[in-house]
Amino acid sequence: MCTGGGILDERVQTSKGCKMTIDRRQFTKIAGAGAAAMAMTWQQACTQLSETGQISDATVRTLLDAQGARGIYESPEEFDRLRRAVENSARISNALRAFPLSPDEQPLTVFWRG
Amino acid sequence: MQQTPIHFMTVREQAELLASGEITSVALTRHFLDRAAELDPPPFELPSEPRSDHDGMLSTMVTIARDHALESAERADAELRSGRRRSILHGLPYGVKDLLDTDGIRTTWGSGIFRDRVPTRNAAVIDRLADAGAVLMAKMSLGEFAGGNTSSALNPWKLDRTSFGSSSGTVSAAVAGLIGFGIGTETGGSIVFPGSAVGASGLRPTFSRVSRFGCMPLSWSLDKIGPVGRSAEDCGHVLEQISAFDERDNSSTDRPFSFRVDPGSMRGKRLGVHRREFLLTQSDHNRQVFQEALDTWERMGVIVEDIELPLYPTGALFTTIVTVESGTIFEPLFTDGSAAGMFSFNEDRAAGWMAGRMMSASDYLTAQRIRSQLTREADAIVSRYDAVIAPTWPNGAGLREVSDGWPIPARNEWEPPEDADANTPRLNYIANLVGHPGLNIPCGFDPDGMPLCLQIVAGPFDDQTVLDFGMSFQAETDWHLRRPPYPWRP
Repeated sequence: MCTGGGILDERVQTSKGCKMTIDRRQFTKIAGAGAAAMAMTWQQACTQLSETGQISDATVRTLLDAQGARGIYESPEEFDRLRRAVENSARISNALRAFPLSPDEQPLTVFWRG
Repeated sequence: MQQTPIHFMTVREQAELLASGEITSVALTRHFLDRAAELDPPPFELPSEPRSDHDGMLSTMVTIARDHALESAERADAELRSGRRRSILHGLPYGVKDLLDTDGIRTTWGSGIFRDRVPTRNAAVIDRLADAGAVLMAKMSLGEFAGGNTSSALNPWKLDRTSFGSSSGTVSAAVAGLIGFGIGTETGGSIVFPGSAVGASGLRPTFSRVSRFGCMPLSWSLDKIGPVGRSAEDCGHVLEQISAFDERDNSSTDRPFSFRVDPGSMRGKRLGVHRREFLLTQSDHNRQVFQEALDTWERMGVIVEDIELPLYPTGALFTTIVTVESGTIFEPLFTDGSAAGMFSFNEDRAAGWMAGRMMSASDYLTAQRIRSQLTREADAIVSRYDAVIAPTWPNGAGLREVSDGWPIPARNEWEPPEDADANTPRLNYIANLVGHPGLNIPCGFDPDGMPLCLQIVAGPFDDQTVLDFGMSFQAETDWHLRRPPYPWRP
């Protein structure tokens, strides 16, 4: 049986089906760590591609699992298709990062207030 | 003098017949519906995986809204009889790419997943056209989820040739005289490239000029909706009716477009020619065709000057921006598992969307920063000219290359063909990224009888200027009046 303590702000379902109780600060830390881990894994994918010319299945699987259920990518054939797509995206990321840009350059985003 | 058949008439010619009472909207609509039923009955259920066995049909229409069209036409006639003419489009039947929601008429986005999807609202453009009195007659075929180069509708000039994607149904039907005019959409070339393959006049308006509300998004920051017709003037008339501010589209701009039919004198206007793209064709014949088109403007007194465009990683920019945005847009397909129902032809594209979801926010913002820099440079170049020009595609439409029933390669429209020089900047990709208007117009034929076209681009909100260049050219030439012979060449 799982038990939790402290302030009952958030209840999170764990992978083993038990309830874990955490406070807001802990939740923010976990969420932040998740986002950082995702960015780090993407960076790892780009580095792997640069160094070895390919991205490992394990890295692709970590990136995929961060998106939720694996869905159609449970199938080995579809997973291989995804791996090629991830390699293409990582190749493009590396190319864009190499493009010379002034630090003053802001991203082109749209936020209209009428 | 032989009179043009009504189904090949321009918007103005059809409108004059309606206004004078020589024909009713019901008769005109029935004519197009009957013609579609006779010449282009769907050979298989649409939407469909791209297929080779079209039985000599073009497959331009996913859904023909016969009852809706005839009811709308009756209303249009009743108003005309009572002296009310809403616009020049009043009573004209049109087809719209099946990405735009139509109340009570199924809207499939070209996908089997949404084969039975029937919206309960209209896209903003559909409402605008209804207010203008136009008659919606058909939802036009497209690549699944606006996929590029799927040739869902065949090319009426030669059935074994590509019609690219994704607005192929709209452009093929316009050229084949199956609709009065059409509405297409473009993210990276989906109006002008198919338009070039079939010789249609098609306009990509300035980004933000036409509301995308109610249209399937592929990329919020790149999608545009624009008119397709049988002349540049057609495009101007339609744009005037569909452009308007819409608070439901975050990118919508309050810059009304008032179309001026008379281009006036072209003397002294400056046309920047991106010569390097004119040299991409391998054919001396094609080069000559393009040069003669430039000569036409020079004879009008237009000052023609060569220009250079900057070399940017436009393919990488498109892929990053579109896959990240599409990956977000289509996330529910992966969450609920319905992505498994995408056509097998599109599996690589689905994987690309999923990969887009994995890219870092930093990479997406880097792409948008590069795009920002490109926008400033492109604006500066275009501002030195009234318009700039390049071949829309260097050659006539190539073979559709069917393999296992699919046209190959399954290329996105922003990925240049392998034979194109990767170090040559392409006006289309730059103009699409920075939101400049672009007009595709036919200017001749290649040695196989396939249309060759030019794309005229101007600065933001200068849609009138690209139309002026197109209309002045079409006043001196008849390429836009050439029609594919029926039966379509195999």
